[in-house]
Amino acid sequence: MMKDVIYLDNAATTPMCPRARETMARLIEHGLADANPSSPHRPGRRVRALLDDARDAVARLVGATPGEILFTSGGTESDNLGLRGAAHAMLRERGRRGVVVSAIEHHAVLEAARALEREGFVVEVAPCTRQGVVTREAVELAVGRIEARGERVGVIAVMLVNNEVGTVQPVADVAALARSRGALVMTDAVQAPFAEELDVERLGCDVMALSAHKFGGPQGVGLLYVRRGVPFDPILFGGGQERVLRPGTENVAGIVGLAAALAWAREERQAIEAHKRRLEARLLARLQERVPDVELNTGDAPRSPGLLSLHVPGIEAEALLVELDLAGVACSYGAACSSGSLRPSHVLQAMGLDEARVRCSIRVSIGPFNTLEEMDRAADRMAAAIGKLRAAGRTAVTVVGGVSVS
Amino acid sequence: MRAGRPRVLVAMSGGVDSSVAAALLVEQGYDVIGVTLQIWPEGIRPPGRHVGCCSVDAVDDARRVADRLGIPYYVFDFQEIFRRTVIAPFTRAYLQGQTPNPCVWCNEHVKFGALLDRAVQLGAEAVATGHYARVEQDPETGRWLLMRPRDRRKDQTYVLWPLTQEQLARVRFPLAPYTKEEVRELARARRLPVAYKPESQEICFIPDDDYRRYLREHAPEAVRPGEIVDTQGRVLGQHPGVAFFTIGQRKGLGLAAGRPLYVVDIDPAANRVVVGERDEARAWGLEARAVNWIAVPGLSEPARVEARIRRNAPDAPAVIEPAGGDPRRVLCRFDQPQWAVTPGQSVVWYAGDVVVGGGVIARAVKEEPPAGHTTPVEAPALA
Repeated sequence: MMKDVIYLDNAATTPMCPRARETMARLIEHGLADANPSSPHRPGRRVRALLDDARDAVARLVGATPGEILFTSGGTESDNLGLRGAAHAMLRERGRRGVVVSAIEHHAVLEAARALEREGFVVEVAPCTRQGVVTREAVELAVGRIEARGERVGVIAVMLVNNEVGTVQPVADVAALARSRGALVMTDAVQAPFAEELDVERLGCDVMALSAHKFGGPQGVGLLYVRRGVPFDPILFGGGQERVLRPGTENVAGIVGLAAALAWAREERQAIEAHKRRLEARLLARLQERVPDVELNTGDAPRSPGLLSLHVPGIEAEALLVELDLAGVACSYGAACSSGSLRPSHVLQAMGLDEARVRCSIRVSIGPFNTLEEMDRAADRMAAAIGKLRAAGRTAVTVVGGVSVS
Repeated sequence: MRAGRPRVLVAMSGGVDSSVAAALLVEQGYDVIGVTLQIWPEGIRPPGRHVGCCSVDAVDDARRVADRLGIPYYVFDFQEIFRRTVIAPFTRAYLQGQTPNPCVWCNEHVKFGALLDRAVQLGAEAVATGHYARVEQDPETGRWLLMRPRDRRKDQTYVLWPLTQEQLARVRFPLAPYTKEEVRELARARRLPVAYKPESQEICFIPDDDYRRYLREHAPEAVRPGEIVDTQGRVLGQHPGVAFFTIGQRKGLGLAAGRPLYVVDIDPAANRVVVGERDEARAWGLEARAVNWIAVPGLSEPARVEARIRRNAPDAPAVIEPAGGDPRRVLCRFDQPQWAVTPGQSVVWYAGDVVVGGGVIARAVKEEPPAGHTTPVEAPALA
């Protein structure tokens, strides 16, 4: 990577925090996790103790008890296990076949819901507002559609912070609704690790997913909170780890890193959020001063600081991101997908933005380790890139698809 | 990125040709940016054996090559333009009883259309590909010439004929001076991770080159059964849809005639497939439409050329002349009748190594020209 790159893709991966780095480095360097935590011997028990300590810490940090925390391989697994585990168990135990997901969920939830639908579950999607918020009323209507189809709702999934546009969703309201209907509520909180409301009691959720690399921990490890006593089935089968709900030898070094990072994230939460808010204001002010028509796609909706969906009129995101990459600003379209290409954001589409606006929007996500000075340089580079593309846009060689071919 | 070096975008498929093209440009000192065009919906790969370009695998391979070369690399989502300018006309052509060349449209509208526009937008002077073809500027006329490459067996000029002067000025074919074997050797010498990959299939979006299955799955409503008739109009049998037939086809007719019969004509208006003897699939000429001139600004007099009417057909000596008043239409008469002149296929006219121009075959001209109508041998050679 260029030395001079300004990293503004923290929603894809946030750099590891020093605490997690040091903790994991020590663990690996001294071989502290070099045994299987399920083994019946002293080395095994020593590793098991690390795992137990991490679980205790994590549980405390999100307002849960240790027995309610499952460690997973990350956000995608947590989302899949959370939705499928709850849906299958609610059908098996309560005969509830209905699943409601919001239109702006991460693909890990949406695709899991689609898979459930193929398996015979009745799935309804709750739309969002123009500003990217899923209201309690929209969820209630979706539940009504489930009931109109002769089924009862088993699970409702609404994320806490949207990963593409940063809007905060009224999860507590949705949880209250779910409770009144006898349904479970799952929330994908992957993009909300620094949010004040990240507490399972405060949210009232039954299932909650988190991913370590969004809050300064390592990639490849996540967690799933599952409220004690709610119906829940595994999706993987094998050993008895994680209360049989997520078998497989635990990624102990990763889990210890996750716990260290989450402790840091929650302790420093207010400072981090304030920092991101300050940086965001600086970036936006300077950028809009130079390019006045750049605007937020989310209006004045409540939003997680630092996570911005920006519309740059007339400039295709694909071209802008290349120009920004070459100029040393790393940001993205919406979600990072496997091939790294742009697919029209389902979130922006759900918000009802027209096609041109969807194609001309980028995601900028500021993280805890960005600096104020970087915001000035990033804004200048962005303004320069936009100016360059706008100048070049007037000199196209061919008319794209303008010639009839048949 | 050093300032002052000309920037070139290289379309990379992950295969050996485009990888070597990128490597050569880097060595020649260009500021090279690698790109792969994603033309398929995310997560959906063409089913079946998967060796085609533009898939997720291709992206992985191309990204590795770009990394090895130390160049920036991006994936562009060109699904919409590809669907609109390649796939939709492809299906439409078959339903009209024609046999299309989708690679031609992809070159015209996607690689050297939308991608070239994107390249210019990003400050690049050209788009480069791993095509085997040559572009040179004629020092006398200033026109950009499209020419056959050194490796005549790999010659891909047949699928590049629609390129305009503006497009040709901004196209680079680094493989022009090399044979395929040399290109493989160049890849090996540079330890590019693709040196031993097999050749990709013919039409990238058709799994296993089974276009009939593709049409059945993607345009089932438009595939209508009809009659198979002989050249006298006698009904010999039924066909499942004109789209499943091409001129010269012998297999799959489902006729028990006791002698080999060939498709000699397709009449989409009557939804009929016409069959006949092998000789009846021959034509003395063709009328081309949508003609694009490369070596010359236009055609006012008859001219002697070699015509290629299929990707792998031998070049046939012929004379071209304007057809009526439409400058985009040309009449092409062969010295000897050619087999399976197929509407929808491209016809490309050459003068030696130079592409004079090309067009889409509108119709075959079956009739032998009356004696004394023209004297093709006396027409001047072009270029």
